[in-house]
Amino acid sequence: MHITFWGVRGFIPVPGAQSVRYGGNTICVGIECDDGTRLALDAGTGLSVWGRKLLGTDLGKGKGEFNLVITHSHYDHVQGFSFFIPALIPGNKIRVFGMDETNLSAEDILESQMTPIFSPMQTLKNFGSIITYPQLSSSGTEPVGSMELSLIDVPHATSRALAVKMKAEGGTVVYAPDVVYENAPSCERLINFYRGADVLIHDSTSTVHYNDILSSDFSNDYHDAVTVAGKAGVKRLFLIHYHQEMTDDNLDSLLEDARTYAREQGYLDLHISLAQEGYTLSL
Amino acid sequence: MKLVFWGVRGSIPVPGPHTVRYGGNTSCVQVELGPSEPILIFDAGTGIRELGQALSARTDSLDIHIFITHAHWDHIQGLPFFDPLFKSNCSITFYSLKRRGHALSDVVNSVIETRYFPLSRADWEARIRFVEFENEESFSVGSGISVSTSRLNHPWIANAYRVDYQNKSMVYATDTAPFEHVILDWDFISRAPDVSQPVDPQIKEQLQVMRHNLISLCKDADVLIYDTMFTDEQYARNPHWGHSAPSHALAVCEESGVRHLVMFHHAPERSDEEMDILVADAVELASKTNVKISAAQEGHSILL
Repeated sequence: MHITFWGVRGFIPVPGAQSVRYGGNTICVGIECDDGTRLALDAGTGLSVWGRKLLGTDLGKGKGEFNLVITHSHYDHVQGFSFFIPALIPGNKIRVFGMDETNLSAEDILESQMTPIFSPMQTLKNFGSIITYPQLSSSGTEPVGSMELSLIDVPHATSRALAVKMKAEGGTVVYAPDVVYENAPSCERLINFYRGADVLIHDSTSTVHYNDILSSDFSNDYHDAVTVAGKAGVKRLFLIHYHQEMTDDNLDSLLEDARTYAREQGYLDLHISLAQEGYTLSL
Repeated sequence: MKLVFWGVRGSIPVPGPHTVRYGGNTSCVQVELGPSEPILIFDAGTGIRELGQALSARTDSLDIHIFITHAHWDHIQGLPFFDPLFKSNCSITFYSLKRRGHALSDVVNSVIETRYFPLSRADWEARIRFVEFENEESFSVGSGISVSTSRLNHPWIANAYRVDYQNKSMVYATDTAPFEHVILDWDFISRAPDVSQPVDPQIKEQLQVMRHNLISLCKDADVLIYDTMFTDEQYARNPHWGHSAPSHALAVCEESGVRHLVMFHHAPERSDEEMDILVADAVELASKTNVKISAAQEGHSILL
């Protein structure tokens, strides 16, 4: 199982010299299994970058299969889909997963971005590939190739969002890119969901009030992520979803601070990293 | 008159080491006329975020005019992150071509719909006004500041803007296909039309009218910022996408007497090195003309 970070930002893409090391694309994490199963977690602009790399595979010839989970409808999680070239190639099969209890139909989310006023594609029906929208439930699991996928809904300020768990040979990965806890240490429902993960990829804006998202002195926050990762006993924590104002240097400090905090809290075995665009971790 | 480039890219923002020099933000150009004059902004791609930060440092009352060429995402996606919308010292007027069934205020509202973005219209403290104009209309946005418009050839119709102020003039013309093979308006065209086939005379005539109007708009302008997303080969493969190559832009300059062409709306996949080659080729092409050519670069400006 190979995890690649294609986009690591929240909110809005940030091109420029200040973001070249950690990356400026909005969020997308790629999972690839040795049997060829591919799954994208969210469709920020990072997905379009992955899409271009995939043109050399069966997906470039219209003979490929691809899976996508959209965790919620905010722009930074969907804006890359219309530039995901494999979706435009006839013959490709693309499954977009959503969860049926959240009123979040993945089809509605994507389709409402593609109306003629906003997109030259005018509708998803003009994409050449075959796109289907299987609904999952929060109680069950779904086989996706050699992976077992399960979803859970998470609290998230103005809308609902999902966290995703992937079990495969090699290990278990949990992705929780946008979570706003009322009180992280006592959030047993989610801590139980994270428990046993080899890798937890977690939001680093959990404690943020949305009114601050335009603030130029904004800083990402690691406290909740470290707390839930420590309590759930996960082996590795990757922070993700960086604010547009966080420069590469700011992020270096964030990592140091997060590691110090974890040690202070007694989570001595927790290995913390920052998601970095283009980096692949193999389990 | 000073033109400041905050976002120069088409289609989608492209962060990364390969776009640091030309810039990876989507379309946004500011026209500065003077410290006490209104602030003119063309398109609201992701480049508008940093412009907003620069403006929000000011505490005097700001009269901001945002001219939208069309509402494809790369021209509006930065809007929710435009700081002055949240400032009570700002008054912001949005402009666009009148589109039946799609009021400009509704379009702006749907960009910040809750499902897409956590802050809502209720959080905006600026005074907001919407102006919708008819095709080819001209109007004034302040004393001695005249804005004229002309239709472009792009799916769901974009329009070009010209600003005239104190004997200086600029035209902002993106996104557009050349006016040669296909009319782009409301229908989705799934297959590339064959550019080697003759064009229906009626369509040809309509395209010529469109082009004639654009050339009149550009007449003797000091600077023309123009869609040059394609190479000639790319245009021939995708004439229905609504974008041009430098050769098309140069022809417009020559016919309208424009002295300086600024290449704009760079293709997302082009690296800085590839952009250098594209620009060198365009400069070579322009060397046979009287037109100066340069490419828009994020953070750069042109003083007229």
